[in-house]
Amino acid sequence: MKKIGLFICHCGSNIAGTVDIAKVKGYFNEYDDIEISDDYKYMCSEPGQKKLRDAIKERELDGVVVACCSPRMHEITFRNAAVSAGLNPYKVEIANIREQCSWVHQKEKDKATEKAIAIIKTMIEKVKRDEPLQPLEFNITKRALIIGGGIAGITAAIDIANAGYEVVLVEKRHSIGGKMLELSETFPTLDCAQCTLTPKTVEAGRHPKIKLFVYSEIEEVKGYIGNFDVKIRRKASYVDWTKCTGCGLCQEKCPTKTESEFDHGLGERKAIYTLSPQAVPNKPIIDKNSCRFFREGKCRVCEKVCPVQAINYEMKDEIIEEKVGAIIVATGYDILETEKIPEYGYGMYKDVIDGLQFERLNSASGPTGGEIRRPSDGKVPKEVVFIKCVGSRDPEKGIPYCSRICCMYLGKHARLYKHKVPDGQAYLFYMDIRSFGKGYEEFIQQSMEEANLLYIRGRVARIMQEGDKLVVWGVDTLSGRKIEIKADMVVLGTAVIPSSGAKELAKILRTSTDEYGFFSEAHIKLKPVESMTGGIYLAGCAQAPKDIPDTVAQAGAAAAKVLSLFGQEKMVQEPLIACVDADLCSGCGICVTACPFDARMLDDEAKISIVNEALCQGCGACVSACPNKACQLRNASPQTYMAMVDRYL
Amino acid sequence: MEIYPYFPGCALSTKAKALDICARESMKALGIELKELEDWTCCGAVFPLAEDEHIRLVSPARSFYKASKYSDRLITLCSACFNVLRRSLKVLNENTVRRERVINYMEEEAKEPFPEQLKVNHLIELIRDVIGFESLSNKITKPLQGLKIAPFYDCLTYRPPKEMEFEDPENPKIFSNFITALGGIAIDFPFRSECCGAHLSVSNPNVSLECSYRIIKSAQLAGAEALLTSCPLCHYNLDFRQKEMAEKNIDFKPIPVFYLTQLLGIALGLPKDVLGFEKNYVSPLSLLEGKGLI
Amino acid sequence: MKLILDRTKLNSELIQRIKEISLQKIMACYQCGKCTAGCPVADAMDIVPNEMMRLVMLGEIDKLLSSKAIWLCTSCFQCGTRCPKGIEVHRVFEALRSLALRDGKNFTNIEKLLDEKLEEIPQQGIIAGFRKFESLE
Repeated sequence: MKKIGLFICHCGSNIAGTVDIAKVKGYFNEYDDIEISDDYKYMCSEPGQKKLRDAIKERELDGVVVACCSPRMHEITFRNAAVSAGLNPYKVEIANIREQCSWVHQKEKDKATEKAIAIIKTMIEKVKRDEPLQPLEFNITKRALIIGGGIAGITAAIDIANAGYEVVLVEKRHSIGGKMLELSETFPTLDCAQCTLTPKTVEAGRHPKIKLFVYSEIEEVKGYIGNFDVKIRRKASYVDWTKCTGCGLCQEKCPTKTESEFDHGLGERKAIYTLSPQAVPNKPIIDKNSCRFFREGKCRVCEKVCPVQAINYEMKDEIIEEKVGAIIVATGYDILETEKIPEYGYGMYKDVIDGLQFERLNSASGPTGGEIRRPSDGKVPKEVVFIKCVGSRDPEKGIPYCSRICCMYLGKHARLYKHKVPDGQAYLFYMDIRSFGKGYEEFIQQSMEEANLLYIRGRVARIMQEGDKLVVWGVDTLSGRKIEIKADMVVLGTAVIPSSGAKELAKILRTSTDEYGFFSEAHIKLKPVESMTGGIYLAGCAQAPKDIPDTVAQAGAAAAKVLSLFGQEKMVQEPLIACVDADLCSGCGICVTACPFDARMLDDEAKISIVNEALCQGCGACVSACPNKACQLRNASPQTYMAMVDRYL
Repeated sequence: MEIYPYFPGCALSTKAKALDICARESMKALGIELKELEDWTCCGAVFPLAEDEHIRLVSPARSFYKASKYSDRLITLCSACFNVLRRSLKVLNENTVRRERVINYMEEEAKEPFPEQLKVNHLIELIRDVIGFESLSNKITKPLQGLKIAPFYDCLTYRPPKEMEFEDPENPKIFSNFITALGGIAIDFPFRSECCGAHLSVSNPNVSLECSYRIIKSAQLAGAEALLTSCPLCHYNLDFRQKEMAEKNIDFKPIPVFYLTQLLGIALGLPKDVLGFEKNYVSPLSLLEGKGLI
Repeated sequence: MKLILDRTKLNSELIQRIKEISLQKIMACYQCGKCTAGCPVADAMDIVPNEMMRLVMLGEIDKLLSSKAIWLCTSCFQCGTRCPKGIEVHRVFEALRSLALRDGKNFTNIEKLLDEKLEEIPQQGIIAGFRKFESLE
């Protein structure tokens, strides 16, 4: 005979309005195995929980059934209440008589009452067979991996490192700083981007707890929250950075010039190059595709001039293994290939440029030394058209969402253009003006009032080249007129998309992205920095387009989540997972392929299948796959369920 | 000799008959016979944009049944016919409710199943897919000697892109490739796909004159010696109306407008009398003689 | 001039007819104006394409039916091709023309055409110029 306590919740009128609580309570008063049958208006409240705790202690209950709402709501509440009264939490079961009974049978009160009784009977059968399980505990590797060395990654890295934990920071390019490194000035204050960024990059570069892997990518990730095994591929730079002093002689003497990716095609770089004058680390790499030695076997000038013999053409990619406990994804953004909107002539007409190219033009370290000049002939443009929503809010040719930052950055561009070319005219074609942040609206209004920028509400249909001018065909919907402008230069506010390689990285991390490639957050309102996978957190534009203040805030939040994980002694995991009956297991291995979490493997010595308890999520795929019924879920065996079904019928 | 069912359309059978002859002779020289559909009726000239107009789909449907007896491809040359036929076929294939209503207007054909494997092709597609532009280059006897031709990508061949499924109207290439294959130089110009004004020449001639004039000027500014088109109405607006353009603008210089198959005929060395130059208001003869092409 | 709106006006029979004939989601238009910007004859129109879409939304159909704009449209389909919301604007214009024609409002007067013009213009231009057809009702 068991001593089970039954507690029926009224849930206000949610349950009591349909189910006859008194009848149910009375039914179970004389029931086998039931020690006490009680009810209360709101079991989840403090007095309700107290009833539970008192009954457990006074009646020495060895099991509890709470007939109430869905277990998704309060299973944890009642299990914790049981623990504080000294009862094993896995001897507490929920009988859902709300979502599965009272809420769906509101017009049939008698039948609902009968059904409630039946549901409770089945859960009693389960509780009788439940084992008093213990939660599983695992060690946590208190080191963090941050993928992406932009402002988001750097902020999070510094926060975690300052708390005393080691951080591995992996960056695709050969210097950290991300897109912010390419910017000239930031809105709304028009601060120099490098002046605000470089203190952080320098700190990240010299912080004793930050291990920097630049020119590297993530190759493989295995493991689980608290215990990840990561393989990092450090690409061959062909320069021995332990010897390199960053003197820059190789870059100076290299005879090969090629298009610079950093300047987005507007400027040139050498085949051996550092990313920018403020590069951290300040070391060069050799680009195989443009280097004369790699293409034709000639030259070798850099090798000859290097004072410390740091050049090594034989270098190979290296795979480095690291163990970490948490991962932050901060891979940032790219902009849409504007060739997808051919009517704007990007790629065909040299003077049609995108936002990042304009940043390089305006930047003192850029191809024109900060002067605004036309890429085609170097003349100063006097009529410049800025176009917003290029590819954004465009379900047909681009992406349907709003890219959030373009209204502000194009407004900034127009303002900066006017600073440098005071007698020039700037036109901005817009659909709406989204200036939502602190100081943003004031900035936009000031631009209109003081800098004489003309904001034209409408989209542009076509840009054509006529002579050395660009004819822009737009519209002013507010006055109902077609607009034609013969511009000297056009700047496109192209849509923000996830960084290239995001979807592939998501596969490696076994986490999900949305249809555009932005990493999915666990809950769009309440969990914006946690991904769908435990132990993997998100920061910055990798999750959704956003400006720098929001990025930094989100990076801090992600770091805080990591620190709260590291602050625990051990990691606790629910024990409701798979287990193997060794006598029945034939070692066929079907469960190994069935498991979506890589949690099953064959033990070579014992010749049976075993469960990696940290990885198992209790999904049950292996249970259905096992031909011998050797695999079962704890506290959910076929025998238990058969008994429950029998009792129901 | 491969045989394809061919829908010439009203304009090519009457006012532009010479161009129809030019088309057939050129294709014969390339090993293809364009066999005119028996007893065809006017395609309707404009595709019915209203959802409840079913009767206008009957004539195209009849042509589809007839054509499918000979081949899986129905060839047409006139842009308007191409637009109507291609879109009608798509609607009839996809919207079975409308198809039923249309078939109810037809007696004999209704007994046959609808020819779902049929495709409507513009002559240029036939040249590209069956002959191939490279092979065409090898078959011509009089390459165009670098003649600078601006291809005009007319509205009806390209739009709406989701229904026509021809090429991206913002990035058109097929006529350029055709011109290059014939030995000419294709000149891209800004107004390459802006409407010529179409039927406004009937009701509002000043507006369409302005549209056409812009196109001519843009092509000339880009350095073109001639234009190319495939639509009889565009040809009328761009060629015949140069008379009015000259009257309204003192320094207007006329420029010949070729029909697609005229260029093909020239390059294949066809005799002058099938090339239909009498139909061109602005005569291309001096331009062609200057290049030694005729 | 003030516009008084209520749900009857916004769901009038004329608006329903336009939606049925054109099969377009009129409410999807967010007035970006790209249709007007690319329309070859918009500078000659009294009501430009994006304004036309807006007036349909607001129920001001009569104003549109008596406009010159719907007859200046050349059916080049550039508007529908460029619309970022995928609205076939040309079909909405056609719906408006259909409503006028089916009401017996004949726009092109054949007697005013010169014979020599009829001689030269290809048939397709003449047919399109009339846009005449017998109403099924």
